[in-house]
Amino acid sequence: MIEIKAKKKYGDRIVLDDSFTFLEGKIYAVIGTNGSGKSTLLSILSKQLKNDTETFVYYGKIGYMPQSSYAFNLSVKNSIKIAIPDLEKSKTIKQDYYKFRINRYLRELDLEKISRKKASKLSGGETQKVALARTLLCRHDLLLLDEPTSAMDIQATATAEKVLNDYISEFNPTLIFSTHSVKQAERIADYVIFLKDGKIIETAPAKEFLENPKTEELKQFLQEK
Amino acid sequence: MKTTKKVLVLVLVAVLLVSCFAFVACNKDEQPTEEVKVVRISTTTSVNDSGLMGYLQPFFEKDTGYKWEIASAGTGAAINAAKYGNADVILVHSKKQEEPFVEAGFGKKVNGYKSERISFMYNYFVLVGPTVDESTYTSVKDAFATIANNENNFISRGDKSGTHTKEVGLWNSELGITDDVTKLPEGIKGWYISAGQGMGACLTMANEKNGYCLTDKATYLSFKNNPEGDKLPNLHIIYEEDNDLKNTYTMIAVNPDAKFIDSVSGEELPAGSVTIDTVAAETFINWMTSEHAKALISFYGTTKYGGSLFTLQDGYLAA
Amino acid sequence: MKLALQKAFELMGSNDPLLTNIVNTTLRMAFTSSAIALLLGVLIGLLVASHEFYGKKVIVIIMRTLMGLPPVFVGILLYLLFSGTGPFGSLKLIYSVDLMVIAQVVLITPIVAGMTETSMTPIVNKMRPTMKGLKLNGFKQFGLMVNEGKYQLISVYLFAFARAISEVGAVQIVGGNILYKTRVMTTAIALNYNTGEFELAMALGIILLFIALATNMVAAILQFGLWKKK
Repeated sequence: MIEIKAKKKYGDRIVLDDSFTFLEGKIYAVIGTNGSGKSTLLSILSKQLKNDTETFVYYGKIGYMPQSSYAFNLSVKNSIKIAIPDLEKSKTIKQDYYKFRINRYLRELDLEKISRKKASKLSGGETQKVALARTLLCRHDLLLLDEPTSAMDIQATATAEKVLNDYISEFNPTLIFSTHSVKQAERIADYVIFLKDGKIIETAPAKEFLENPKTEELKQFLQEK
Repeated sequence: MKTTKKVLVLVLVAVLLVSCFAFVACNKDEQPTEEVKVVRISTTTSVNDSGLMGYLQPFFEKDTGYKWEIASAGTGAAINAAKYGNADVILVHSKKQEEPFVEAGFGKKVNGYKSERISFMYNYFVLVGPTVDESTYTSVKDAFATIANNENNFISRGDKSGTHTKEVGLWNSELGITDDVTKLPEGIKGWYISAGQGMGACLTMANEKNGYCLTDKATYLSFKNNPEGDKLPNLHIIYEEDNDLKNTYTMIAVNPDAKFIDSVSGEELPAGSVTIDTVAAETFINWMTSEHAKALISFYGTTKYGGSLFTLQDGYLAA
Repeated sequence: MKLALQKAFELMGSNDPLLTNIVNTTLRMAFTSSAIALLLGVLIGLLVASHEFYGKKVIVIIMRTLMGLPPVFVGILLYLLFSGTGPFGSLKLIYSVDLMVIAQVVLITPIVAGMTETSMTPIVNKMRPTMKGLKLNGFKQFGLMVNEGKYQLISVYLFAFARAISEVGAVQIVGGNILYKTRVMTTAIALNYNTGEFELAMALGIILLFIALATNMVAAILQFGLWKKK
């Protein structure tokens, strides 16, 4: 179980302030308007950002996909290759393993045709697919994805979700992701957390969330969607 | 926090603006309201480095009411400055370069003086070298021959200055040393160092390399007996006061009707495009040969370096 | 001016051994010092650009101040350190091309570091979240940053090289302008001015410009190649 008292304050502005509990091996979707603290939560969980209260301690492998990834001036294939962990680089068996995974993702995410293209010249959706492939290349215990399909069209999103589901089946990580799509939350997650102004307004199993919103804020939020 | 930042920036900009104005205003104040008389002198770094000119300046300005502006460079450049019309009078010490300057019509004869070249003072070059040298020489040329024989390090000015020209003439002609600074005869490459720098730098190099060097006594003493300490601990005077080592200083007033040269195109400038203040030049020359100046020049160096650095000579006045 | 240009071409075609020696010495010195300065400077510049640390602003100010080190000052400083009576006198580097290279490295490294930090900070800031998220090691990060900043770093190198080839104050003092040994184009120009050979001085200056032009043309081809790919 992962417990955290997450707090982040910038001057007088409190961006995030609440206690969270995550069950290992389960999938959580975090939803809320822009500025509700979703990205901040994921940043803290990925140890990119320092928690204002006690430091977040987690001993497993953490995989993190930020909201916007930098598009390197490398080919798509090489852009993904840089994620191969160093310790394993020298062992040829492990090398082949990663090569295999890279080729598999290139295929499954429809990146094969542009595998040699420079990553900096891709469209938003393609760049995001590359970033996703990069993040999913290794096995992680805790997987954090910040709006992983925000730039993708419907077809690309479907493909990405399939790849993600395969990954979940294979490695059974604790997955926490943020999204603007309530439908996506329903499709993938076990639980959904609704944030507003840095506080948890409501949290419930995915199915109940949409069918039985309990709080006024959530009802309003769902109506606007 | 934001307002404090804004205020700080404004204060900084204000300070910068005020200092700019102050700078401009102060410089404006230095512009005299009445005409100031100036004499432009072009001289060599050796002359300037000896400190003589700095010493004489306040006396000159008080006695004559003229201000002087001195530009110093290597001998060749100093003479060129005059050819470009940038000086009213030159003060150099290289007969070899003075004579062509006069022959080309750049010199003007001043009333009361025998020739355009007014050689009014001299000193001696000295040969300096490593402290361990205890040889005795019959003449300076003998010393030079020994140095060549032993292949001791010798640092040459290598810049066609008066000092360099003098030095070149003291070697045995067989060695092939000329004042052509682009040629270095094979046989001497190991020990003859053509530095192409000023006197101070060459002395420092000689000290560094435990080598020999021909220098004017003034520069040598100013480094040796420097108030901050002996800058040339490895050098001392090996040979001096040989007639071959005489270093004569000459003043030449610039001819206002000379064919001055355009510094950019190298071509002759049209007549009348350059103004030379001959009155200023004559004032300078007359003062430098006056009794007051003579006394000052003889005195210069006696307290600081234990002896005068320059000796006055006669023979330049018209009969 | 015309005469100087003529003379420059004359000299370049003449195969004069002294000119060849001077040009060789200059290039040897300038390429070596700018290369070393590039390596050290880029390393320092990227380190500063990619990390936030206590006192970073102070370091950046110091770095930028060192960019304005006067060459003559560095010349005198190194002279005192490496002359016979100085702490490093036993290395016998005084009046050598090696010491001239050292002087230039001292002068140019801060410039490279400062320029790298300035031009790479925006790029590094964009890269940082992704690189950190991937937990890349230092070497990998360095390699990626250099790869992203190839265009900028070429400009930085050209500036470093330009400074090296045109510097005269420090190399004059620590090198001594010794004929056939430590005479480089800039000190030769200064000497020719002092001997009154202005035309020759100008001609040498023009040759130096040609060298700089050639280098910049090669670098521009590289850079435009990169630019096109963008």
